[in-house]
Amino acid sequence: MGISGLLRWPALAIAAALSFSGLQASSAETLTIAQGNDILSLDPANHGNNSTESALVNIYDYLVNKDFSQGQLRFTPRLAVSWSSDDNIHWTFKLRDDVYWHNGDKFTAQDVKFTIERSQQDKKLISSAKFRRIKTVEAPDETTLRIETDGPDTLLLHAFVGNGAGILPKAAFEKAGGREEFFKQPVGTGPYVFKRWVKSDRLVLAKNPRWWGGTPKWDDVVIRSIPETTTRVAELLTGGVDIAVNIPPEDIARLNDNKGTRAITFDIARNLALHVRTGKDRVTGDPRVREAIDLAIDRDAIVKQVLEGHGAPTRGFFPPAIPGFAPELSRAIRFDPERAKALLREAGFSDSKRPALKISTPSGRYVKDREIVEAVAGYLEDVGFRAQVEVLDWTVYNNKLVGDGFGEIYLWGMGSYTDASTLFVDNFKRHYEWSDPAFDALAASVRQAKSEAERIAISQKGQEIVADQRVRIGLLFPQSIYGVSDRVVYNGRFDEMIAAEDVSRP
Amino acid sequence: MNGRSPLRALLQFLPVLYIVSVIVFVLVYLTGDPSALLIPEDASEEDRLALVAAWGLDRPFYIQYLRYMGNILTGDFGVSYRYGTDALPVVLERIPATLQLTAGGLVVAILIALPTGIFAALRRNSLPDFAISAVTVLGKAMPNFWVGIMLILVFGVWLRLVPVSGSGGFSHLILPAITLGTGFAAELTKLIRSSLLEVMGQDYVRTARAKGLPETRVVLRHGLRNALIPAVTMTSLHAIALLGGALVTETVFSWPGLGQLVVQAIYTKDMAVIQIAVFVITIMALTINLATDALYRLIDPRLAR
Repeated sequence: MGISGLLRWPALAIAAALSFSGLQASSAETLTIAQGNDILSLDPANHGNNSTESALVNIYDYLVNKDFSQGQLRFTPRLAVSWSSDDNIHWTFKLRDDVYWHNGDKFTAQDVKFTIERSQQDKKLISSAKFRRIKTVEAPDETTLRIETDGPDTLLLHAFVGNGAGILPKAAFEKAGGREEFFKQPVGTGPYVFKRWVKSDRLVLAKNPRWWGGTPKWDDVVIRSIPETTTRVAELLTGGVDIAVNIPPEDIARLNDNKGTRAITFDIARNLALHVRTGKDRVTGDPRVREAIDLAIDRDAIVKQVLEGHGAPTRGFFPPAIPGFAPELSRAIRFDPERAKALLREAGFSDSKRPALKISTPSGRYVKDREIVEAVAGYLEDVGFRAQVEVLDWTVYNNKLVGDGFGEIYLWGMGSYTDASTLFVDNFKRHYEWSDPAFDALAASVRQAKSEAERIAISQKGQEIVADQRVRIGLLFPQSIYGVSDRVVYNGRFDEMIAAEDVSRP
Repeated sequence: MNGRSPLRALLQFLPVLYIVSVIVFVLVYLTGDPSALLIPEDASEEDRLALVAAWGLDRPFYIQYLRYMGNILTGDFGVSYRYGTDALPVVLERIPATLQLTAGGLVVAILIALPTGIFAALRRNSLPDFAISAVTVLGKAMPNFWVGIMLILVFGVWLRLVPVSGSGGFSHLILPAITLGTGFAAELTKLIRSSLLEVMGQDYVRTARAKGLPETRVVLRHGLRNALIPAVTMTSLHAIALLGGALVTETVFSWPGLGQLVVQAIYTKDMAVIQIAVFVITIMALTINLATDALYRLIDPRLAR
């Protein structure tokens, strides 16, 4: 639905020129955030959607915080003050005893037990698999939680953050008499209380005066859904919103030149990679052809030209803040078109017999996705490929992914992960027609890793194999770009959650 | 048209509704299941398949269909996969916003087109007529999203007279209604002008003038009344199209109407929402048709006989 850049450019130029001041007399106590799409659900366990979670983190609390602020994932206390395990199987969590639900009830370990078991039992919930490793959960007293996992699980804390991890109140949920009823007026422990949700328009939250973390910074928080980029920017320029997500790189200068607004850019949990199908009947079945693709692409130039510098080139699949990041894959990235040409000759191709391949991409799903793929196709043409770009609607794209209907290569932007072992959830045999005994052994062992260090080593090894064999060819780590009003101080978060408590007045 | 009672019209409509629902079911089924679009990004293939099984989407086509129809007969319209909640309220809560926007757009169009069309017809081939003609071509040629964004920039960003986007009070409706109304106003102006010109050349108009009636009376009573039938037809067709959702305008102004909902539902293969939306839109279209018939009879009593 995006308006063509051609039209938007002059439109926004006028907007910037017309808006003599970004500051407008609006209540300083209300924080307004503009997302690109509506939230899908108030049920933390029943949506698979990042911007929905970004809204819900204000209503519900996790057991632990995922903190990327130091450049590395750390888990810090939230509803749990401490946790321990000797064997990564038997876990004990100590919970805060000064937490109250929005309806006044006291928060206890029973609520956490309820949240876990509800997810496990209701298989229709989108995040039903969230706590699959948890075998038993017990609440011996109000502030103690004992968990036993089905084996050593060094990822247990990861299950307590993100989609599906918001803790729900047992008593209020049961009293409401069902999911539909409870989520009409949901109750959490977070800094903001649910007021109302006008679908496709806005979610309105109000300050929780009894929040365990102190007095929340804002009286009201409004999270709006504004799908059209131009409108989102116009709202920011007129002071209608304080934070606007997903700003295209070409608008950064405009927001910075306008008085009262600025653009912020920051690293996020996402990578863009070419996923390669390696079946014997495809030109990409030949490892030399795949290597030629890898060497033909000038990632530096793509980051500079297409993303205007707001990203980092890589051959890898997980950015540095993610546990299991493989540093080698972001170091000394080769761009060697001559070697790529030589490899194609070795593989039996020539000017009269050029290898043909199709590269598929969505349009507008990831920042500059189509433009990046067009640039890649250009580089491949330069070394002797005949590259055809296929641009697909996101729904069709997903159908093709699930049904393995793509051609040789497709762009994929993995994201919203907290650990590099996510690499192994993909079905490489089916989606890439590829298998490797060493990789399969790693995939089988990663879940049972005895320690964090062991798991990280397995993840890194797995990434190296995938990168070496060019089953996935990493391209870059994109940054996120938000527009922010000078009325607020905000720097963005690696996990793209916008917690109102992270936003303050200057 | 004669003697068609609303109830009978509704009953005649049931088979149509049924056929439409079958077609929609088959089409949505053929596009595959929605699981891949709804799961978290880091979910595995097994997680996805477990959901497909839990939702019953791995069952054979005819079982899914029978279950679906059986549920509808018991008044259960199904669950929205996307919103994870009962689908009926998801659709119904969009109707007020859609009705507001449709009404707003039509009112703007009629307020512009009626006087302009009459004026242009009465001053045929004058300079103002040519000017109006030029403006209508322009009005029709300007794409909706461009008009919308220009209105936002001028009245929202520059003059700050109205809110840029969103829904709420009357002020939120102004820009989207104008955006929707202008394109249609252009069409309607041309239609009123041409049909009025045609009518004004008829014998009974000449007779009315010969009787010595004042010109305004000739135009409004004898001319316009007869010229209105095609305009009413066009307006009702346009209203039906708008009730199905004005996607572009809704998106530009983040207006929470049916258009955004239906398109998102189609994108995510949200079967129950698509089905209910199609029902609701069909019923609204039928209502408009009935209202149009009534209006015809009011304008031209001969049709009532």
